[in-house]
Amino acid sequence: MDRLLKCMAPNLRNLFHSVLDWDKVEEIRLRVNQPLVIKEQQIEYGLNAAGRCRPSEGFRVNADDIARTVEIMAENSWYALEDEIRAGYLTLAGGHRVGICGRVVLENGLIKTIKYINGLHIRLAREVPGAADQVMPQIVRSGRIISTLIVSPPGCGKTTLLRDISRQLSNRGFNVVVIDERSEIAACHHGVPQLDVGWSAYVLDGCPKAQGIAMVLRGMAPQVIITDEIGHPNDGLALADAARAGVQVIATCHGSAWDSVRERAWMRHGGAAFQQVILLSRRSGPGTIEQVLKLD
Amino acid sequence: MLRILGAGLVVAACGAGGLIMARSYSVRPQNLQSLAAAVQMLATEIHYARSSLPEACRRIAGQIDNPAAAFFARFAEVLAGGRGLTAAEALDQSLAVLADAGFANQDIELISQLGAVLGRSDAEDQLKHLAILYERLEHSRIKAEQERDKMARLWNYLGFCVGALVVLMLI
Repeated sequence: MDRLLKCMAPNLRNLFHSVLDWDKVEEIRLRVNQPLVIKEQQIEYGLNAAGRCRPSEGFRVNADDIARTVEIMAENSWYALEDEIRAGYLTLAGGHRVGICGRVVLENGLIKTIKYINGLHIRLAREVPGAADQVMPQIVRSGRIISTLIVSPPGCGKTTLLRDISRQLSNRGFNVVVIDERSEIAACHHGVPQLDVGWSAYVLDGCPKAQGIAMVLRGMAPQVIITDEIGHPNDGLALADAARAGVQVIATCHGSAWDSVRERAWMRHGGAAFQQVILLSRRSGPGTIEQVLKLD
Repeated sequence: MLRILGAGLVVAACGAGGLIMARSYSVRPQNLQSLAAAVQMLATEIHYARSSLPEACRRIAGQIDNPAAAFFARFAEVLAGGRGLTAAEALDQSLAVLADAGFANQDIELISQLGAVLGRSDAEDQLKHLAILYERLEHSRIKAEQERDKMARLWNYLGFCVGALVVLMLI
């Protein structure tokens, strides 16, 4: 966690000494003029100079703390992260995602940037080797990979599960290509994966999914493409291309129920790429498998 | 004989002093040219590679001559030091390298002003600021060259003339 703490404003770093078990921490929430809050699996608490406290009694984060933290997180290079900032998040070394809130600047109706940043929502990424043990028999049957869509609301462990599926498929020798648009699956830093996605996985880092799928179909001879958070109609078209090329796909998308997901625009073309759907929740902790649906 | 030798020494010493002064006027244009080239490289790194500031500065330091190279290397080191400094603070801490190398205060001030904006906006805006800085450095370089041409010639002769004058007064 040293690397994560180095991304914080010096003013905030000392507060984190009273976090006892970093393995349990899921989120860190910073809001301007509001208390610093930590979320662990089932609880939330604040941090102040005296240690852990009630959320409302946490250290009051000021505008300078937020501005400084953002500047450090962006490696003093805001220009290098324009696309991520436009999308409302940053990805830190280690794959941790930082959601950004502030004043949105529009140009011709499109988001140009975000200024006066007033909130940072840090979601910690972590490897959970074995997270996919329960689903692997569903994903590889008789030596064949079954194209699978993993569906859940945010925070239910989709990306963690996807990473471990990549690791396990890759370590079985399948030619895996991970299209990691937000650098969350492999957490590449200067092009090198920081999290284990297996020894036979290629990682296309920071690439929009639709373009990435077309690129890897042309050049990487994948047996399976792994990608996160399908959502744009173009993603659906690219997935359909992958299916037509005989390439299996393991992907995730946000949703709480299959009925709501199947109505999405990208499903019109992309739905045919999947043979099954795994629904996740956090009923018994992140990554709880609720249902496996076979698609016709 | 001793007098002639002494007179020669006085003229030579004053002449050498004048030549050193003349030479000092040629250092500033070189320094400014080197900094301007580095600023252009930084613009290229931002425009084409979107390199992070520490990475870009490290790369630039390897491609230019001292003392500008030492300054960019120091800036990259301070930025990447994990001390939680803003670009402006890191720049302030690195400017000592330029001061130690004899950069003029007004030239250091030009670079220092960049700290308020460096790395804090999108590429388009960064390129505008770097273009402005480049123009200012070039403007200063041209003025420094004009001053060098004028003052270097003056000091080249002045040293020897002063030496000769001192000798005449002593005789």
